[in-house]
Amino acid sequence: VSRGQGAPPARTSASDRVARLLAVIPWIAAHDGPTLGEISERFGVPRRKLLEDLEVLMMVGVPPYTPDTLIDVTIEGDRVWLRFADVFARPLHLTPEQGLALVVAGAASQGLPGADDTGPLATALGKLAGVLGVDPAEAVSVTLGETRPGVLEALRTAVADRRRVRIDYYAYGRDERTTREVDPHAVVAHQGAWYLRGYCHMARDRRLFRVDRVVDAVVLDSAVERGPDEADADAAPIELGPDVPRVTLEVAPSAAWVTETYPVDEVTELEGGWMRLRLGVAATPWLERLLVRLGRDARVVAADDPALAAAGTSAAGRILARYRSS
Amino acid sequence: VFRLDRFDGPAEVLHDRRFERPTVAVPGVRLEPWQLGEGEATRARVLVDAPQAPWIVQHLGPGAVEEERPDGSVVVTMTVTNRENFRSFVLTFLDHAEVLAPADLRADVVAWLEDQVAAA
Repeated sequence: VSRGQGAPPARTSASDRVARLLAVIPWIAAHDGPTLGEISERFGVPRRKLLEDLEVLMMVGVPPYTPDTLIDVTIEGDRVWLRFADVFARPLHLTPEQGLALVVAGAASQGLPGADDTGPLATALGKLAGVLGVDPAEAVSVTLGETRPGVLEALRTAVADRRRVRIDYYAYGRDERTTREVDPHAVVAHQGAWYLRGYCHMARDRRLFRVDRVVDAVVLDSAVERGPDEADADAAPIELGPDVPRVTLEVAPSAAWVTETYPVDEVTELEGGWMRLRLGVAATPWLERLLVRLGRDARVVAADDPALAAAGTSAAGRILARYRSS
Repeated sequence: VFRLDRFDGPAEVLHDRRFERPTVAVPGVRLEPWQLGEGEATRARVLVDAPQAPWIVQHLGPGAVEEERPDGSVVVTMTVTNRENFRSFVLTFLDHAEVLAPADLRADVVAWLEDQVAAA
């Protein structure tokens, strides 16, 4: 099964499944024995995957995971009934911190296009916010990842004042520390970390920099001029282009996380749970890291660049040399 | 966890009894991958080269720095309860980091690398 262009997703990631279960569970519980066909149609899930999900659901519960603490799923003929374990029927007791987190997450969802301002979520948020004594529309300061003192402030100043910034940056992928000048476009948050988007004069292209890897940032006097198309370009994700060399790996079941952590062009399931995957390599040290960490759980079976095929062994030899010399 | 308002009398400090504070998960505290395990807690010392030193100090916090060397490299300490995750983390530094102690953790990294080279 391939996950290339135009092909349907071959595998279901854990996060995909959790998201689907969170939607499916309350719907089944709220209906009197819907049929598998009705559930499949409503949620756009193939029948086989739905049955797999329901099998997982039978193991969901709370410690000590005795039968009375697990969700009870009954499938009779083509109909499905779901009964929550008693623990789910107890009133939910939230700490103030948990309640506030729920209000913030809910308010963010309400901000999405198409959200119903008078729907159940809005009503519940209003009640919860009332109990907590907060306004759901109030801004909440969220701390993301550790950054060096002054760096985040300098980058924000540079963005606001449209001034070029000089950064001392540790490029993790290339495993090198460089000083470069960047025309900063925006400081953005993504998956718990801060990033700087901008035009890098060293790379002569747009780049994304993790702020926690910026060792130092100095705002320069040079003004930044932005073309009208650059805002649109910034909105597009930075992806590995077709010119980036590709490598094909076979990885053990224990290394399945690779497919969910990195952008892969293609995944093929093999016997014994192994997978063959093809992915782009923007910088050799990145592949070296991946391979030395996986050890015998990964093998390179093809590479556009012969040097990539030996990356893991080469890196392992280099690290070993260090240990043997000290 | 003991609620202090349920103590019936004053707490007495027993000066002749000493203990090692266990490494346990505390709700709300971020645990690193090398702390996600039931193994016996081991204090590891890792040497990180100068170019990568700022990042590791920032990541672990200045309290983890045991030694700053003249060349800019640092020796950091990490409490390890998951050896595999610890090895994986140290290897992300490639040849810019080295486990100094304890000997068994260092040997574990070396054996892992030797196995990889031998398999080639």
